[in-house]
Amino acid sequence: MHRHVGRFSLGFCLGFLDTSASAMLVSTFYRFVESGDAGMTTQISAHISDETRSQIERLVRRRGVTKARLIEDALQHHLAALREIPEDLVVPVRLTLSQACFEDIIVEIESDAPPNEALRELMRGDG
Amino acid sequence: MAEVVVRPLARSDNRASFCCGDIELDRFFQRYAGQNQFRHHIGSTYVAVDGEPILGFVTVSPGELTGATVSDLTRKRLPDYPLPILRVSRLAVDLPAQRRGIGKLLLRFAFGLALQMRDRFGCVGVVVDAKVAAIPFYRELGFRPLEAIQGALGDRPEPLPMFLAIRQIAAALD
Repeated sequence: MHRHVGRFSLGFCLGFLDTSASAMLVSTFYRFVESGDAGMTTQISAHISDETRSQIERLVRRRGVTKARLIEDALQHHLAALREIPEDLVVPVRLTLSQACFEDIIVEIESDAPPNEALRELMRGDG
Repeated sequence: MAEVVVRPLARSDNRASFCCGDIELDRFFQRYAGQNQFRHHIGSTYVAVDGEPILGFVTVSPGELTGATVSDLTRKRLPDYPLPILRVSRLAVDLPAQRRGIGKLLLRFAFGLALQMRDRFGCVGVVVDAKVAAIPFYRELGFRPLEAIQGALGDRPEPLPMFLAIRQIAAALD
């Protein structure tokens, strides 16, 4: 069943979407209605990193999918993974640190400071 | 007494009787370590044994460190991708085997894996998710606490991620 829906009642969009992208989203919305998925009615706005934004935009250009479809798919995959895998199993791959902490780590990995005696003992198999 | 060796977890290993005194770690090992290892392949568990019973285990997986924001100065010094690490997410020793150096043996084994990872794929250090009681032990070895904005384990009580540079580990072998 097709229903006419105005472009501003789109189910899903990000704050940085431009007009042309919004126009593309309309057709995405029609696809969801046709498939009987009435869930595409909630609009969210999210702050994301410049890096993620640029990755999304590159992927959208390369694959020819809409941003709404990409984000909807990504969320569904993420939720499916969480349902499939108990929380006890999940070890997040990426650990995001505060700027100060991350910069301290940079200094540390480049440092030639000698290891302490406790670490030397452990590596020798003592104790 | 037979020599204690560390090897990968096997399907046939009896994990049901393992008890380290921490309910979360016991539950993980008994119920999920096998799925983790053999079904989802999202981490590897190694066990310390000297015969039939399992004396302890360590679970590791590759990971990466990144900064929420990075200053321009730091950005210029780094490649434009996250820093690879080996994450020691869980380590525990069976109660009867405690105070025999099994935990240190397992940690030394994990350090060996990190050194292999450094040589084969790249690795700047080891991150442990330290239970509160283990924080002083790791701190003594030179681990430093990390201020994580995202990516901490969901265990309760929440463990503290701590970091040790691979250079320190390698230098400790000299």
